[in-house]
Amino acid sequence: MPEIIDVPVVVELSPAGDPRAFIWDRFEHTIIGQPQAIFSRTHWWANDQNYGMRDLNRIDTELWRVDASRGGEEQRRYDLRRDADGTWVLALDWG
Amino acid sequence: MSFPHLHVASAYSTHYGVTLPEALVEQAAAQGSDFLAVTDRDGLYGAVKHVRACAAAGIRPGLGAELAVHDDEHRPLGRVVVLAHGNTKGRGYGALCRAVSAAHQLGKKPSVSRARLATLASLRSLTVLIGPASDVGQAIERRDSSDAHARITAWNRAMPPESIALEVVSHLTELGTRGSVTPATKMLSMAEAMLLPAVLTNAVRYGTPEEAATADLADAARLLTPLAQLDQVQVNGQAYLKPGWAMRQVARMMVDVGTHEDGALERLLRDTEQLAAFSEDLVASCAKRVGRSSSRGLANRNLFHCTFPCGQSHPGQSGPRIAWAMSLEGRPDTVRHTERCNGVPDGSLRAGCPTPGRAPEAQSSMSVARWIMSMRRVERKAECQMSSPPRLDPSLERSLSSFTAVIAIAHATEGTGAERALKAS
Repeated sequence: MPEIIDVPVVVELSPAGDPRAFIWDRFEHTIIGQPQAIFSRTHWWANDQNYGMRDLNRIDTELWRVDASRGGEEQRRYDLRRDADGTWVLALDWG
Repeated sequence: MSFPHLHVASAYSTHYGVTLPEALVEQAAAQGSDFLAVTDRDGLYGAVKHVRACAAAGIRPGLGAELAVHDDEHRPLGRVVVLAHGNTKGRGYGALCRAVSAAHQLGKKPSVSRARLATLASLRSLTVLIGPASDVGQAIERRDSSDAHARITAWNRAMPPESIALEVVSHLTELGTRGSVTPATKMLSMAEAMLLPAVLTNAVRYGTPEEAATADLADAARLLTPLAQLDQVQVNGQAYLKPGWAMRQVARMMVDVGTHEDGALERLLRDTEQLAAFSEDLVASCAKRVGRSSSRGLANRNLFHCTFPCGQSHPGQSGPRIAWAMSLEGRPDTVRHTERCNGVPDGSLRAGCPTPGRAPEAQSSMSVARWIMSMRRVERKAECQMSSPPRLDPSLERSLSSFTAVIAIAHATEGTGAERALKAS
């Protein structure tokens, strides 16, 4: 089962726009291989009344599934979420 | 970093596309792209505006249409994109127009037969993009690889050499689902196995991600179904006019999840560029025609195609002018219908229409001139109609019922998202 982390992190991007590394808990995690982006949509019409008009500007949640390792440690799989305001959140640790 | 988008629906794809051609072209130019095709659903409805906008923005336009196809037994083969080749003295554009007309000749739902498409695609006038919405793509989606292989083999046999390409699309959904990189990478593998070219597109429906909610509403209106009950809601909001770097990103992810030959990524992008180059020059002459509102060629064919509010189409309506005129002879109902749809006095078209069987030079010049003037009146009126998005079809009332249902559902669930979306759109 994945572990929920949900912590804001700093992500370094490659010139091509892919995440290349992220810093979590003072340690840099280097991303290995080609990360995969996943855009999941919201069914905005079914959301609660707090769903503001601003949110309709974007119906997708952007997730990046990456394999990363800290130093020479064994690589693990993580989900990085980029929110609408551009901030990155380490969402899940898949192990 | 530019990318040539080959599959783009404009707002003239009623209840499907969202963004007007001018806005799409402006966006493409701002992204540094030097080519943009428009491929509206079942017709060339946005083509004139697209070509004009491209000429104004200084980018190369491409023209095509997304058409439903059926086989010899009238079994549906899904939807494909038909792209006209340029630099063929109008042959590519003419073949595209005839394909659109052929699609409208049968029944209520436009669909062209594969045999007819094969005939039209000869002489390297068209390229047919077989993508996720085709029978091949649907078989891949079902993970039925043997059926997919049989279907692409049938396409390969039916179509002339070098007239088909596989269209690779990924909207980056969850792995293994519709719109993910998985079916896209399978499509690329199939192209490699069949020695067919593959091209990358984004099956664009809107210019920016912010317009994705409007596409949801378009789906609800087209399918006459409240949003909450839509089975095939768009997979996510990624069907926008992505800039070149984002399309390369998609291509990298897609190639990475499959086993491909060396250089697959670069070959995919190169073949996409190459097809764009094939499609570009058709407009060199068309743009001039459109620019001076000529009575021939592009403007004539397209606008006529758009001027039947009832949605009914007529044989030969997108053929060459003289062929169209010939086909009207002996069809008084068609002529009357054309006149009524375009607000032209009864009998004015028929009165001036050149007589078939006689060489044009043998006819009265006054007669031909009068006929041409009538046709120009029709075109001007049609052009006025097309200066705003197409009128909603007779199902408007039912569409409005759908919107009302959406709002009702939103209220029922104490949500106001739908209402806000309607206002926003």
